[in-house]
Amino acid sequence: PDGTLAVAQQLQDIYGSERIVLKPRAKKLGLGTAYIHGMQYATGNFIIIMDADLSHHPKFIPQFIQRQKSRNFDVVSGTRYAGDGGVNGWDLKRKVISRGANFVTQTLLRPGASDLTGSFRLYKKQVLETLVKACTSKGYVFQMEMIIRARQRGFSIGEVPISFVDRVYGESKLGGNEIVQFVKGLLYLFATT
Amino acid sequence: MTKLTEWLTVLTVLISIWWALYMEMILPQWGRNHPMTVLSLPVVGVALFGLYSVGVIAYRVATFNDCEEAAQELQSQIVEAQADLKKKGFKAK
Repeated sequence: PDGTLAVAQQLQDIYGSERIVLKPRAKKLGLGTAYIHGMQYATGNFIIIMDADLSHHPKFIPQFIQRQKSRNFDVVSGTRYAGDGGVNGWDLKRKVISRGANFVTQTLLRPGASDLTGSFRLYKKQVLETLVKACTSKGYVFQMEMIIRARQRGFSIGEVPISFVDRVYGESKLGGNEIVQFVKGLLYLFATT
Repeated sequence: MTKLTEWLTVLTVLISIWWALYMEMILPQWGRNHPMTVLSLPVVGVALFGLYSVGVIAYRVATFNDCEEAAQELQSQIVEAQADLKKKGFKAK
């Protein structure tokens, strides 16, 4: 709906359809099902998930791969909170909310990963399949749940510090509704895992 | 055990210890000599945890890396990419 499909088709014409595979869906159906849909057409043994609005930079991909190889991690998670990781374009209020929410999450869930709501990750294909089937949440909470479920099943999780350049294009959203959903999701995970 | 039951277990243990202290079942001499301390322990505990939390969050906000160079690098790469794509026939709207 936002016109990116047309752009992607042009890119496909330029770079070839062996390199860019497009599988559009009828309408906006949510992130979890998008992962499932995309996985059907993925031919490799590993899947990298990332945002396409330039907040996640492909230059980190080699680092993800290296990290995965170093100890054969099942999941490699990009973190904005550890090492050289960081963010650009956030004001003080946003930073406080982000760190505060992460602190509460760490205290309540002790997940063993520093950045639970990030969505720049590398998964082994089998692991991604297993986890997506096990998750029931949406939005930010879905990303958190993926890591928590990975922990539950004893999957190994590595980390790569990443820089997150917020919303060069498009609008960033962190309204009251997102916060409510986040708290609900957090309590759900707290009480059930 | 879920995280919730873990927390409830730990809290129950802590409250039991405090209750035993209060009822003079453990350390009765000390308890009798410092009644106000015993009563204030739970409050102090919560307050200390609160202070710790605020401190940690404040520290993390202050040390939150602000990736200026990454943003600038990205901007110049966008310009580069737009020029490159235009050469290859990409038509922006």
